[in-house]
Amino acid sequence: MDGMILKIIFILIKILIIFGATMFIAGWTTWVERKIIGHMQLRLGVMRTGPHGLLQPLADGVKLFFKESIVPEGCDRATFELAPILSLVPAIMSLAIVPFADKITIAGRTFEPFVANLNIGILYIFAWSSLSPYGLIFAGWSSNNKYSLLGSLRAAALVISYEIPFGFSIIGVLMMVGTMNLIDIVHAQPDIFHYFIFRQPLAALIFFISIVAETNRCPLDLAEAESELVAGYFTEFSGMRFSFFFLAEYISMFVIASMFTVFFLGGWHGPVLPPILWFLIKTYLIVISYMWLRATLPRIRYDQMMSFCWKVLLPLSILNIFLTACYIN
Amino acid sequence: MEITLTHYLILAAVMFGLGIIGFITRRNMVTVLMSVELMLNAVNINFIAFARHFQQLSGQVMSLFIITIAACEAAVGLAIIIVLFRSRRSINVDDANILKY
Amino acid sequence: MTFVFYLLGFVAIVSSICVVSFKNPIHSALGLVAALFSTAGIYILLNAEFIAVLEVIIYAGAIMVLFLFVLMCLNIRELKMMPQFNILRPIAIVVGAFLLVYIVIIIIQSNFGNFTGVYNEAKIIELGGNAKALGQVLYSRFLLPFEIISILLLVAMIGAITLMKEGLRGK
Repeated sequence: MDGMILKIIFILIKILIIFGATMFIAGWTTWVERKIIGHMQLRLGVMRTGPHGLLQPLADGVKLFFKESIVPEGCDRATFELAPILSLVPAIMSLAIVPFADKITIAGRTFEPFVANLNIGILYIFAWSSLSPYGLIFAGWSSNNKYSLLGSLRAAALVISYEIPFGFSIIGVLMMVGTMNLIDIVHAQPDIFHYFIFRQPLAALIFFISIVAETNRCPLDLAEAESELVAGYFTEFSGMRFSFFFLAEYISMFVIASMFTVFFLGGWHGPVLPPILWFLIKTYLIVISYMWLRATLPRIRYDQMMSFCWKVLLPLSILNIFLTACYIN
Repeated sequence: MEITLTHYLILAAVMFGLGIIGFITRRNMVTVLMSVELMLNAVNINFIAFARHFQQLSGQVMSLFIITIAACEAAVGLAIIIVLFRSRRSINVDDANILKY
Repeated sequence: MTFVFYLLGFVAIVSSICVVSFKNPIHSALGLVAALFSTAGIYILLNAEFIAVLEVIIYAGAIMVLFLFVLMCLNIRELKMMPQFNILRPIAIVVGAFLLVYIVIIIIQSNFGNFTGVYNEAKIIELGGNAKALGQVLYSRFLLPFEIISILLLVAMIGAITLMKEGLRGK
């Protein structure tokens, strides 16, 4: 019984550490993004708060926390309250199975630097990412604003369309590994020649494009196309509710980038540095390449994106499954 | 008290009954379809509970099929609803009383 | 275990009541999502993790989003104006309750026997988890139904597309 309680406390501490670290990373990713995009556009980016604007996320957080959270007239109160939570919860829940490093044995005790290790880990990630449209849809619908509604419908259609190539591209990896356990997938790529980005290049490309759409990032960010739709589905949200959407976007970006690391970049494997650092470096490289995309590419029109998904990405991902099957046999 | 098969069956029965009530009483076609989904879901619980009780996987396979059929039903049903809405401007069940339009 | 079952069952039943009683169809849809979620939890209690996850991905992630989509594409103001319930509502509730009590009595009185199949928990762990065991059964004993169901899915897809095209041509 005592061991049980100790175990539960240990898991709670682990959850707290991972949650806190992710919040920290998500917060400072906003700073990194503003800096990188600034320098790419020959600007300085944020400079005022702290050295090189390092304290800017803190200031933003304080501002958002104390700002009045306005509820627009004629909105649907219940869903308006629920929408930010519905968008944040899937992002945080999928954090639970991100494998930061392998099991470590210290003084006879094995320590697992992840919250859970599921046999159906991939499906778990899919389950939560398939729930992300709810936050968008309810946010857009409840705020009683035509721009919000349009933005949310676009975003939801986009997310559920791109979910299909997103899922299909992983099937190739699954067929080669023969398991849905994330830890085992990382174990299947011990060195750089076994990384799935080289063994499954097409799948990696499709996966990368569809995760940009999944997380609603530029150039596929029609949900918040500010030139047409003000700010899309969260136009009417302010204060804490707005910051929930913001955090959800950055956390899901981090989670999905870490999935790319697990599936295609060999997870925590790497020379010299400790595994957990390798994992974070690889994940952060993906996150930075998102920002790179945002700074260089123009936004793509809605119908172009949909036809690209259904007419190019989906057949390509099916072709990839077919080729993988031929290769395995 | 241990949870037995009967508990799961009663839970499924209650959900099924609520689904029937919704199916009969609602006038909005979309909600009627939602009640049907509720009933299918209750049946799924039954299948999986029996699969556990008899230690067979057939029940789980059947529930997989039911989920597939629910997806088909939702797709075709919602398409019919949209077509009806285009021609009638209404999704009231009582308004869809002509077979050919 | 017991507590979790009662909690999930309570949530499932309350959200099912929400589905059939809420006036706004979008709130009903939200209730249905909650009901689906708690059913997925119940599947996990019944050692069917794979079905539970599929329930969330397909039901909650795809079918319910489709429902919400259709509700939002239809005119919301007209939806609010239309009567949501039949005149027969009280009678239907009474009949439904009777049916329910009848089913429950049958369930309590019946004896389901103690037949035991091969797939007990140890066997499933030996086969490599619920998903793998299910896959083996699905692709051997249930291969033909599986193929037929995939054709059904294709037919439904084509049917939905043709229906929409017909409607557009009619305009």
